[in-house]
Amino acid sequence: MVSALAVFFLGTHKIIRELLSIVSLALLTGLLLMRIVSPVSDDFTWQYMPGFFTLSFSLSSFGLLFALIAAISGLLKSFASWGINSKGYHALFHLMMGGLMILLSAGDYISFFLGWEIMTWSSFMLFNNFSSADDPIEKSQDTGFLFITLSLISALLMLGVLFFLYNRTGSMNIADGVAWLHGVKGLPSWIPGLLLMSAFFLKSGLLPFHVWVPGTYREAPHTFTAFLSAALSKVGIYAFILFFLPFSLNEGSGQISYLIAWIGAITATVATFKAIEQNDMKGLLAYSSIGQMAYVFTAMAVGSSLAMGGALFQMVNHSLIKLLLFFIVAGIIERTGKTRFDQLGGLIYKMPFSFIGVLVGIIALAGMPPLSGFYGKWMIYTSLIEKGWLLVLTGIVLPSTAAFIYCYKLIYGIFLGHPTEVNPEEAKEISPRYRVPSGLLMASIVLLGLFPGLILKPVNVLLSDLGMETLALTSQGSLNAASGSVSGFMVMNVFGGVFAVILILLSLFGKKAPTRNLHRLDIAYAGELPTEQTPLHYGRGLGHEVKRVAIAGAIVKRSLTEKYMKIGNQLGGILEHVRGFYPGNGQVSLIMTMVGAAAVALLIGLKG
Amino acid sequence: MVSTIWFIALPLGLAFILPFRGLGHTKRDLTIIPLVLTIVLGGLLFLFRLAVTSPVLEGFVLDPPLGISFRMGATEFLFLMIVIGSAFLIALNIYGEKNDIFKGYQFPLIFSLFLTGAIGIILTGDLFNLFIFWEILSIAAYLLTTLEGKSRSFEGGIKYLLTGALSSVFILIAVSLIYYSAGTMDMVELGRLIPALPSGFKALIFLCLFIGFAIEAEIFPLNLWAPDVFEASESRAGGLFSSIAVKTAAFALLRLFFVLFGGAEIAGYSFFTVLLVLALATLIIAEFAAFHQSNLKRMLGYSSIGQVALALTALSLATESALTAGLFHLLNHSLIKVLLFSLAAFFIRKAGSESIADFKGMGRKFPVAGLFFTIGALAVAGFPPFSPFASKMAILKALMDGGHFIVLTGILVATVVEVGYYFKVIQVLYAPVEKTEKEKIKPMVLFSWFVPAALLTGLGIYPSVIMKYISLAAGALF
Repeated sequence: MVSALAVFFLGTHKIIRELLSIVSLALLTGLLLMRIVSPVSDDFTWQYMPGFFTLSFSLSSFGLLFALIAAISGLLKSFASWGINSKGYHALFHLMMGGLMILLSAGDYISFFLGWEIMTWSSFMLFNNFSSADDPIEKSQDTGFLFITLSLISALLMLGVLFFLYNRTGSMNIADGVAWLHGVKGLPSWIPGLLLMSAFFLKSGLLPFHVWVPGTYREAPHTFTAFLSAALSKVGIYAFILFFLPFSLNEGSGQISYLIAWIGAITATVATFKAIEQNDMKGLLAYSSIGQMAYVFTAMAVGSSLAMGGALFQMVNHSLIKLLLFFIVAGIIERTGKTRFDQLGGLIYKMPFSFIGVLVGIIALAGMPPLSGFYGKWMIYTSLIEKGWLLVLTGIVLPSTAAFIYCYKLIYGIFLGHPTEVNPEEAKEISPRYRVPSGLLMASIVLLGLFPGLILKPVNVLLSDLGMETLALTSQGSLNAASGSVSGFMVMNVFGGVFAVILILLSLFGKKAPTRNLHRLDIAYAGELPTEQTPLHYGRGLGHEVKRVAIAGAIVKRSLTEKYMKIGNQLGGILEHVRGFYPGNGQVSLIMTMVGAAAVALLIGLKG
Repeated sequence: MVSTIWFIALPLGLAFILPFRGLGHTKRDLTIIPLVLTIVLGGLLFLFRLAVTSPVLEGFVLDPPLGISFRMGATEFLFLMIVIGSAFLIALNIYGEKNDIFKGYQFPLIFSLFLTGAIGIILTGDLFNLFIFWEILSIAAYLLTTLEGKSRSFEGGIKYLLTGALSSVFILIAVSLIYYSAGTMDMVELGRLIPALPSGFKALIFLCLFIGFAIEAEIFPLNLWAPDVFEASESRAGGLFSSIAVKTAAFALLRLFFVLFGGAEIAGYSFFTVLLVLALATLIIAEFAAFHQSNLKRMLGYSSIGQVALALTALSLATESALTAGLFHLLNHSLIKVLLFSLAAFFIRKAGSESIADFKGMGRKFPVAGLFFTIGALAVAGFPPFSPFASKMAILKALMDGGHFIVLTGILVATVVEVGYYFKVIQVLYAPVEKTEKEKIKPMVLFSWFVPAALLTGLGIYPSVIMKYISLAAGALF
């Protein structure tokens, strides 16, 4: 069924109407949901190339989770991008969905790689070919080039290792390769495994391979960025789970998982500081995405069932939050034509819905109770404490606290403070096609905050599929661990209660100070008169100060992207020299041909 | 009356008739002649498929092994299919979108000679005829290069001529040595006689033939002429070289390795290893050199060298599955290069320049051409769901069956570079430009793009359709 579904998607790729697009995505979601209710075994094999490859497909419970995330994200995304896309865009988007489904249901290397590659090139095309002419974001050739080359390096690194595994096991089945990987002893024999991991890290944008993410997210079509962040960045996680979990089976895994935990922590730290410094809305969210993905990897490295549960919860939650935030940002860019914080400000009165949306989003993103983001982080922290990796915990808590700053910047820069380039009088609330999916997402984030069990119960099923212990869930809303328990319902009620009390107190006793609406440049007691050009907006300054903080400053000032480009240029220089083999001059090339013939003769003569 | 002789007689006869009948000085548009010719040849091939099931060996004048003989087995059939198919698509494209240089009787004449040579090399059963057809093909190719009549194309033509002469000299030396030592020219017969020769002598013959064929098959370090020639000739002439001339040279190499020197082993040393090393070097150097190319035709030329080298890498493994993969890749590569060179001709004409930077926004202006170029570029880089993905995976699998991990790494590195430069072109094609009027493209031209693109996609999704023929062709070599 799943493969038929993928083919169906490839088949529908001439869809012209948005409606058909949405219907087919809804159909996909529906079919995937049906599988949860009535699990059917529908393994499927296909004689792709007789004598060479037989492709096999079967959707595991993990694949189902990721497929659902992708399908729902795709559905919401195509609702949000209603009416603004050409037919080529739809074709590519469905092709990419098809690739993703093939990847998630792949049972052998070739179908895995096939799905991976289809996804890679179609997302590149989506990124490259579809920017509307009035798009305020300039595209640079370098970003696209970095994106496709790094994606491809990741893909081919993976392919190389997969063929190596084929050479070792004599089988194209993923299951056999995984068994081989878990059977090897000691750290040095883990080299193919580590290479494979790097390929997945690259796809998820972990340090030091994250360089393609910010540019790509910033320059991609707005709603597609939401999909990139919500669904495609999860592919690396799926692949990681597929090949490397559970770790504990292997002897050499101790050091490796510690290493991964640190990679996650460092990535989170760097990405968070970079995010604080960003002046571009989508750029900030992109770095935030990198950071959030890093938590997931750290949690997976811990490997206990609490940590895995936390990782999966965090992942689902991240998808919801990023869809919400990117949709709202897309709506704001569409209405105002501005992308940077210092161009916006003071939009709260005209865009109350967006304001509440971003508020919900950042509360969940920062992991503050009572919204859903809290549970994932709580589980991850607790599992780190249980494991005794306190140093890693510090490395995780630091960025997660610093994340408050960029979260604040997100809401302040857009909605509060002084308006700058956008006149709030002329601003309008974001269009309904963004509002509807955002509203749904907000509702689901609040709902998950109330009842984390909605996600944790399925997570338990997944954990038992992995052969791990299940989490202790007492009821729909609460979760127990060795060091404590948390109940979403109670937390939400307490917060709600406190909020209500404060509201009542304020409205009863709070005196309303006399206010006057002034022009933003009318600063009565300022020493000098500001002009239109004076940078009064908070968004302009916030983040600059990060450069003066000890470690953070060093991180922010350095740019790995530039280093990569430099290395790339150096390599390009080598390629330039290779060109010298083909002189283009008739005489020289003839003489060189003769020399070459002599060399071949020598080669054959010596051996023969 | 189905006979292999028609494959030679038709184009050769046409080439002789053309200058007469008062056509000599005409500037009339005769580009329909090649098209009709290829259609007729294609029909003939189809008839052959229906009428003949087992391999044919036909002798003329005298019976083999003495006279002229033509062989037609599964391998020959596959290569004829590649040659005639590519020739048909390019003829169609030229008929649809004429360039002044194709008018008059010269082009049809050269085209028929070119086909005669290519088909002759594939069909012929004896070595001396192979040499003759080799000469016909080469001379036609030199002429094709100079067709444009610019100083640059003559420069390219002369380079081609000089290097090609070198190739012919080596083949001629080998042919005379063989006749001197074995007394026959029939290749199957020679396959039995050669192993008995002294090993030094054998090595010399092998060396001369190998160098002769390798020059045309664009194997490094004997391919220095190739980029210049691709740059100098009209794109579709480049398409003919890439999808026909190089493929026949690859076929000649197969004959050399499998028929003449069955197993290609002399004194316990397998020459397949030499081919493997050279092919890998060719692939990597060509792809690296292509990276900074600013001229589209030259870039496609480098890419053509690289892809054929990839197929040769597989052929050099000499197992049945590797051969199947390699032959499949040769077929796919012909389709790709027919598509890309025709598109290059289109873009070059529309932009009035060969420099890639000047194609800015062409993909937005001509969405269909942009789409087909994208398909071609994705296919050549080995992305699914196009057929080179299947053949490339099969090649890599065959390599891993043999445990050649270093070769695999080399191929993957070359692929990264290749994807890099093709995607740079795509980026340029889809660079945002001001809104322009979309222009109509002639249906004939569209069709000539559509067929290879559709085949690439179709074979990529269901490669099993053609795998039967290809594995037959590969099996027939042993």
